[in-house]
Amino acid sequence: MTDPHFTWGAIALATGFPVAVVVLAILLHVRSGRRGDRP
Amino acid sequence: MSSHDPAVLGAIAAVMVAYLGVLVFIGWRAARVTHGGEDFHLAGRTLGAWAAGISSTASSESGWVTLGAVGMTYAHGVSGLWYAPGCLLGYLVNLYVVAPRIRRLSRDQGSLTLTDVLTRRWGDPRNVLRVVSVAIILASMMCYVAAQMTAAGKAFASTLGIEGPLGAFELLGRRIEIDGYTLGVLLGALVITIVTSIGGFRGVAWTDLFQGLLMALALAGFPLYALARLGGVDALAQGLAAADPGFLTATGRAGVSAAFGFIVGELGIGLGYPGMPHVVTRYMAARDDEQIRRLRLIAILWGVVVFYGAGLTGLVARVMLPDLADGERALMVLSLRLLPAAVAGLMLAAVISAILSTVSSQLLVAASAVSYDVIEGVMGRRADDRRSLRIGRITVAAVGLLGILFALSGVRLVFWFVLAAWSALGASFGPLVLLALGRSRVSRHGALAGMLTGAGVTVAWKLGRDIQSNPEAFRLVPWVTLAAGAALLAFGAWRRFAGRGEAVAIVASTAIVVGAWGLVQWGWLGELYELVPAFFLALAATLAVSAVAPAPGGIVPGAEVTR
Repeated sequence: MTDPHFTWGAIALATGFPVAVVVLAILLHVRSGRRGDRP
Repeated sequence: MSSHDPAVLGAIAAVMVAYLGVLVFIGWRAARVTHGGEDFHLAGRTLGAWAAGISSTASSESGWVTLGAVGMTYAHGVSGLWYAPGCLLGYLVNLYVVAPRIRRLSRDQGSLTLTDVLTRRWGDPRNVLRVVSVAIILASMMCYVAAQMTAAGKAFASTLGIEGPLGAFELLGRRIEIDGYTLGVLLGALVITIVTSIGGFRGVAWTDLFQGLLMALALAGFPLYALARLGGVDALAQGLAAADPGFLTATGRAGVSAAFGFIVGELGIGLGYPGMPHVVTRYMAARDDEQIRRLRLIAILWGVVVFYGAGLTGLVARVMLPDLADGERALMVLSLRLLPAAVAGLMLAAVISAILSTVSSQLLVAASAVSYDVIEGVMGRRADDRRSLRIGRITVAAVGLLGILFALSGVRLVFWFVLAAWSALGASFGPLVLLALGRSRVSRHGALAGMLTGAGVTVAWKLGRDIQSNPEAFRLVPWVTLAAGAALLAFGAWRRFAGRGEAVAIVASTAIVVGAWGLVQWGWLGELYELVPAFFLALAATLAVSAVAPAPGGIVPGAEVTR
């Protein structure tokens, strides 16, 4: 019998989404800072 | 470790007294630099990125995040986490679409409240929009504030283990009993009412910053520590699988089709963010565009830490405390089990912080609705700066005391009201805020239809779905709606505030609310959280009525005053 494990959907929901949001926010922050844009 | 142990109780009580003392100190410091109406209602538009950013997020996440969100994953496993993407999508819309635009629009208009922004945007010569907006805000906020104060009382009492009677005294010939709940409500609510009353917007924002950081620290550190104590991710997976194999999936044991309504409803929570008056006023108070640019990153990071920290806490608690009667208490019970007393006291302070940071922001919004929008706006008593400050302070104290009376009354409001109030505010104002920020062809009649539809569909959907709990009364909802619409039309004609445009708005929103009540009885739609249909129907009502009944006037973003 294999050890129980989280499904891929659960991993995406619990870790993939938040990591993607943080990376997106950092990229947008860096880009807007570099361009000196108004938000 | 039990909270009934006197040494533990003493340590937790000492931390709580220190925490409440910090709030009073911050309120007192803010009061010293608050000198006029704009200061009191909007911190003089001087907030930096940290205060505006953390204040906006801490205000929007109430006791729900440290109690309800933890309880969601405790009850449903990983599939209980769907609230987190919903909330973060709401954050993204608010931070990248709403925040910069509403800051500039409110500055150009000279608006201090959300009602002010909307009424100046589309013009409101007979104060119809202003009165309807204030009524929706006051009703929702009072429910919300009283429910939060109830939650504060319960958290104090249950964590300190003082749920029984503590003593009694005579007041005006009546015997009044003090129990742990009453003490909790009085302590928490009185302190935050005083801080809000003296410190105004600046006091609220600064205390929010302190409390928001406390929440983030607690929800970042504690679940990871608890997970390590449990034995890591593998031990968590084994423990959850032993309880229910469905806890390891994103859709639960029932599968995608059965969970569809639940998932859409949880994602739909995010629709509410643009319409929250206590959140968008934080963006209006930011000092400049650079603060908005910086606060976005701060707010997103805070949201990720808090939402997923709360979710992980619920999962770990499910394995370590499988027999908990109420999963919403998991954070407090688990911290008492695993941490030294003083640190557990900090965790309780974080739970109470989530509640009080929301209460203070909502008290201020409710008070601004009365003192600024009604007394100074509708009644036309424009006050000088010092008088405006005095009226604001008195109104906060009055609204706070009213909330305390509600919380202490026999009717202890629960999170049922919080979800309904979130939906009513989100659906009534969310579509309008988004439309107000562009050059859309919306008229004040369309805006009126949107507000009435958002609030009306929320109530009709909720009662229509719960019809089995009280069939006699809830079956009357369509008739009550029709009677209310007719009464509004008759009153408007008598007092001469309702012309053709207002009549179209009232008839359209009445018809939509009655239609929504019929729709909710139909199949799986009843599973949907009421905000989802209410938001989209309010948006449709706004656009349709604006097309049928256009009206000139208002202040367009970036343009000169046209009214």
